[in-house]
Amino acid sequence: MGINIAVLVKQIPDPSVEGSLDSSFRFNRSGKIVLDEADLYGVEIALSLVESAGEGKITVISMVPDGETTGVRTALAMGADEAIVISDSALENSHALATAKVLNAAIDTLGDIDLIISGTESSDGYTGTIPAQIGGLRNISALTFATSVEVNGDEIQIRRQSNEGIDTLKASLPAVVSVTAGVVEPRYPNFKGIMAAKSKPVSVKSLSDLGVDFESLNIDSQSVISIDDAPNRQAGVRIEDPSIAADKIIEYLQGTGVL
Amino acid sequence: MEAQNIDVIFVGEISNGALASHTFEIASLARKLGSSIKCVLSVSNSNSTFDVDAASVQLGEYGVNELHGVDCGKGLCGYGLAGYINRMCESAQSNSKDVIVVGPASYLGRDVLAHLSVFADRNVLANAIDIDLDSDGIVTTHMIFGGSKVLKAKSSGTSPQLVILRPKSISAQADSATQCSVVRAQAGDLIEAGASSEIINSEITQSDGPALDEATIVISGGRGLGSQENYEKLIVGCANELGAATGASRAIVDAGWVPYSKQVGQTGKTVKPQVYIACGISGATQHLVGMKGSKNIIAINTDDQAPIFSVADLGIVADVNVVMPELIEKLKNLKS
Repeated sequence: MGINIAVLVKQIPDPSVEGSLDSSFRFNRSGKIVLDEADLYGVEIALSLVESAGEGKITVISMVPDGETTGVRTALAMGADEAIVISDSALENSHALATAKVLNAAIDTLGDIDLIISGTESSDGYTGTIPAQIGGLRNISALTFATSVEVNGDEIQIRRQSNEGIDTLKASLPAVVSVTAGVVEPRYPNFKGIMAAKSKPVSVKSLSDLGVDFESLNIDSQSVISIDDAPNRQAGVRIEDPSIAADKIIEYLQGTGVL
Repeated sequence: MEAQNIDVIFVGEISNGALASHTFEIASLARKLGSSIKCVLSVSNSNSTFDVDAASVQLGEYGVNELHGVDCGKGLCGYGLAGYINRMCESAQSNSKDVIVVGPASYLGRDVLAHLSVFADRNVLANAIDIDLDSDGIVTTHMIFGGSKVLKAKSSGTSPQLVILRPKSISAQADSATQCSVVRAQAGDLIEAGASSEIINSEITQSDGPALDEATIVISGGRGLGSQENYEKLIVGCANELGAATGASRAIVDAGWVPYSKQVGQTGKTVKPQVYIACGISGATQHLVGMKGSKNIIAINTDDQAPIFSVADLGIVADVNVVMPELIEKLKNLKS
């Protein structure tokens, strides 16, 4: 019993290293792979929901082309219970809807799920549509851009960023929630957590394990046709003497006509 | 695909009681792509008093043929609007038309296009900055790696083609006035289990200054400020003097100093003000992509190697916490 949560995470090339694409226009994943920082917030919210419910289970789900599990181990070290990694080289050129379908097939293996949590968008591809697509595929509410999440029985209440301010919404469970970064302080994995993560189950599955028909993903409908350097902006005047900085800024602002 | 056989359906949006500027930008792009242009607007929740007829006159000046004002009920409108647009797509396709659906990269636009992609079983191309027609589909342009590279992607196959466009990518240009007819609709039966959510409270964040994505001057703060208090004192303080909107780097949004709505960059808002002032922001590619289209850029940072200086017209190598108080003081004196 308790609350059954799936957290969707992405394992991305270390964002502190400048990204590159390989000859087939795919993100170069040969360097260090990490758990997307934007996903730490979803994991933290899942952990605190289980804590306030008293019991529950958190399954981390991630899709990769290359069997990578480093990032999900970080989520397990934070306290998630187990992980499913969908790894299939056929997914190298996957697009957002295909990814949503594959992640959804993995969620199907978890039985009765109460809540699916994700970040709002990944820090490499930043498409930002997958949470709502999963809601659509499962025909459940997709509550996007949440800044706080509360669960009471069969009902979820969130606060959500809007153009004008913050909306409070309620919906019935099961539901999908995407959470914006910075809304909670993600816990650091401690030594005990890191050790425990080593023995937590990580199940690596292929598309056929999940019964997903590759053709139905319609991945070939899209392709990258070119990549070129963007026109560069030129750097302008440099001021290194702080005592004249404020005057120079005012002078510059007056020159542009805004002041 | 041929423009004369294409219907362009796009997601319009209301911001602070008026049509958002990206609505006019997308309308301007739509004219290049299709012969019939339809704008779909959510008129539920806080927008229920919006004057749809007046909006149709405005949109007519941008070549829009139909304005659909759709009431999506009490919940999030993304799902209901997507269901409504899906019916429009089906109806156009039954008349042998090709369809391109465009939404803005906003909270609403991303929700609508994501749901529509499931309804229509078509992928959505996100974060495009331009769309062109191709013999059997469309080609979309995207900025990647912080705007250092331009990527073009081709999407072929059956309609509809679904694209999320970054605001400020296209310049809005009026056309010879078109008669824009108004269609009022209820999403009604489209709101099923998938939209069972209900908005129970809406708080308007009172902001004295201009909206971040509409402002003439934007002043943004980053980690170099050192603390949330300094953001309030220096960034908000200076913005008050300049009548500027305030923005932020992802680092300080993640640190919880300011809300996500202030974030400028790849995963936040795109801004293109007359003047952008980056204070204590190093200029990670994530940030640059959201602001490098600004007309003039001023950067203040202690690290003379910071990437932000490579795009700055005026680069100040100094501590923001020293420069800003002095700047605020001088701006005050200038006024009096």
